[in-house]
Amino acid sequence: MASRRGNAKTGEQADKYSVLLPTYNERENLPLIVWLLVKYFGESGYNYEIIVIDDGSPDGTLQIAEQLQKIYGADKILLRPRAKKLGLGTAYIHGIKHASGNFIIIMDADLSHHPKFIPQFIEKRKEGGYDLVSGTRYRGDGGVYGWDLRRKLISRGANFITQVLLRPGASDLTGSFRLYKTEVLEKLVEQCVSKGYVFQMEMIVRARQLGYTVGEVPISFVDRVYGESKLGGNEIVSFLKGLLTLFATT
Amino acid sequence: MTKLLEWLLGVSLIGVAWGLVTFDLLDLQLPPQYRELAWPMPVYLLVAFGCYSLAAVGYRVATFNDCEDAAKELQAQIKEAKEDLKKKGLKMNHISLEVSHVH
Repeated sequence: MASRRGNAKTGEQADKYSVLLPTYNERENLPLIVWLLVKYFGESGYNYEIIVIDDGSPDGTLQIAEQLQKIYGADKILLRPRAKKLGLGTAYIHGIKHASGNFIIIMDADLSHHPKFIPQFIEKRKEGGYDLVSGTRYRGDGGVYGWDLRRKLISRGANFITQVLLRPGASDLTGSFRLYKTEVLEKLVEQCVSKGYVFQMEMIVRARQLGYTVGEVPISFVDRVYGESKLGGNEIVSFLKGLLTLFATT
Repeated sequence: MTKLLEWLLGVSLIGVAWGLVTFDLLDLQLPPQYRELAWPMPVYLLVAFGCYSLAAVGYRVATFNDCEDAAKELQAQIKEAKEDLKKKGLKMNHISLEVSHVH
């Protein structure tokens, strides 16, 4: 179990946080999320880098990223694009390869996750010595903006079924706003086989299996794209399939 | 052990206990009240669980926090970010300033 604690930290100066931003057609949001990240990391004084993993966006996301790199410096904004849309799991693997931080933050680049919570993640992690910290919409003053009753019902219903079947010890399994120790994320991504929502669930389930500790921080999720991307029957069915697979195999 | 196996184990244990009491398989000569109580238990438990589930999900949906302030704050920060980035030389064609309201 001693290896789970990680190497002894010599102080805050030694910690570096790599933020992985997988992007696809985020030409408008990318500058804004980067600006917010720079603001909150700057104010908190933590050492960081932002790794933009663009999957060949046709809308020019990469060009915007290059401009941002000129503005903020190539040591703070790293560009590690890929040729086409390849999926989140491989984006993480790709990002980890280029990350120099001993901690990795994963989040959505569409402004649904707010960087203001990152200092809270960092503090929570230190407080409890956790291997990973997960943002939760379901506890404390966590919540969402922009969801109608139907969407909330599906979300809570799905989470309830997940809690009953998997008893995961974390309140928000499908969330993707998390802080991981780099070696922990590396280990977990290796093991996980699911896609989509279920991938994020599997990460936490496997983390618990491997004895990693999980902390939680309430976050607000501001959904600006819900109007365009409804949660349809297909997604629900594949979620249930994935959930049952996890139920039977973990 | 997988969660599935845990569940099967749990259900089997409960099932065996229920069978023993209801059908008096060990010939324990339990008083008839025990048997009468045990016999419909599985259905009672399922119904109770169903009610609990509906109540729990209903409560959680009703108390799901609506982050109005977070949305407003984000909107303001988007404006601020856009202006600051323009000053720093970022060339963007257009950036949507609004947090869209759903219905």
